[in-house]
Amino acid sequence: MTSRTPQIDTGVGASFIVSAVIHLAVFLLLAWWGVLTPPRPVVPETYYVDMVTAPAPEPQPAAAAESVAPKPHPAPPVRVKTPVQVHSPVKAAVKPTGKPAVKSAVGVSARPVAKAAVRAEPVQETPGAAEDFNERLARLQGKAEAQQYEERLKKLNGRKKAVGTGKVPAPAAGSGDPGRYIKTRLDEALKVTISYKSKKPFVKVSLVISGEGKLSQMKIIETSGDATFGLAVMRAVDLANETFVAPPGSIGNRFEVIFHPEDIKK
Amino acid sequence: MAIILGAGIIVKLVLLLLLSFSVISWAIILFKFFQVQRAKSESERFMDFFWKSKHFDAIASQVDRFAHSPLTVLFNEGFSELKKVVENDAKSTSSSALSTDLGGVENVSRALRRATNSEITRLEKYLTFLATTGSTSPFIGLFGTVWGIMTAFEGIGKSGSASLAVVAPGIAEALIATAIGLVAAIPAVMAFNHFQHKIRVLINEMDSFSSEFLNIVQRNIAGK
Repeated sequence: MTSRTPQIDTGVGASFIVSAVIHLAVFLLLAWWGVLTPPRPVVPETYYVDMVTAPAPEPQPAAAAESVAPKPHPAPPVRVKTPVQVHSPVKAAVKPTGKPAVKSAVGVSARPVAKAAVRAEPVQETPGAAEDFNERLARLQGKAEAQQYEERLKKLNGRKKAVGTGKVPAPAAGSGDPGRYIKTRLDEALKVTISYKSKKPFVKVSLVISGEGKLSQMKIIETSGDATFGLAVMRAVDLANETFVAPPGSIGNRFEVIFHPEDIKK
Repeated sequence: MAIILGAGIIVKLVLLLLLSFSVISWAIILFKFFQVQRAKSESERFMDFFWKSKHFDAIASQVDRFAHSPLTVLFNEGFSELKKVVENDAKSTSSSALSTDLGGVENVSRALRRATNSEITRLEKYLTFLATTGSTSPFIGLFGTVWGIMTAFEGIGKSGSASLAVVAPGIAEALIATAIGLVAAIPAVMAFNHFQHKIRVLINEMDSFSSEFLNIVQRNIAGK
């Protein structure tokens, strides 16, 4: 009937191959360019040191005192003797207790030298008056140091009692108090996210340390009604969770933490 | 790369489907581009040659030079039908010549119309796939996105954390499906509209050529 030779579409196969190659090239280009792999923010690893139960450094009071004291005020001959006289009552007060002499020595040793240096300046008129003054000064300093030591001892005793009575959760062996550790981490995060509208907001939340060692199942138990502060606390928990490392033996435990803006200001 | 590898199985299937749609669409786009381009250029050359030639036999001997033009198919159809009419005319008696001539023109007209329709079909072949890709790819991508977001929220619920670090990757994985759906659909729609226009022009050229061919045939037969 017809003499027409049908035209065959021979170019489809070739076009398909070309199209596949173009797609592959585009895909590889995008992969190479990094469009398909968005850059992830590098979160620097944070190491926390528990200052509560951390071992105290080796005491070096004498070296500190000698290096600090003479520099600001050149010492006259009278003042050179004073530290020797001053140190003796301190040591007498510290030795009998057998308690850590480190902290008291650190706190005490630098001050008397400075005070002695400042106060001794006008007393250079007669040698007898200077000696009297030095003796009185040494006594006063001895009293003050004894008071300071007693106060510090009271504080340590009070903390010991609190731990013994169970008011504060007992710290885990070798790693400190988990509750305090968590509170410290959360407070650090709250410093970043803090925001509140009312005068004295507070939020009490309950948290569980999940099997993966992360803070989870956060629930707000009690709140002052300041939603802004509540949100700030939630953001702080999320932020702290990014770098949170669970203290040993705390996985699966539930903790209740109270947040106050005052805690951050401290 | 990490976004695609990290996506769920449904999202991956959706992406694969969209990728195949895109590959096939681009294959059709490339094929149609060259097909329409060749048809247009060779039709122009054939029309020049047609009007310069004085005999259909001379044109018929050179028609292979314009193989990609739809007009050559029309010419072949019309000319072969005309030859049959002329052969029948020679065999028939001289008394019934008028009625035979009119029937011959009708036959040629029908042959040209049939050839035109077959050429339109050939030119519009595969265009329906472009239309389908253009209209359905965004919806397929949207389906992948919805599924991905559902999965992401499920994961967020399990982890118990609503931080941006937890939410964002899931949403990004989900949104890539919509993006690829649009990447497949946009060129398909643009190409479909472009080729529709080009093919309409070619159809008009074929109609014009059919009319001219019939005029010539009618003039020659009526002149005899």
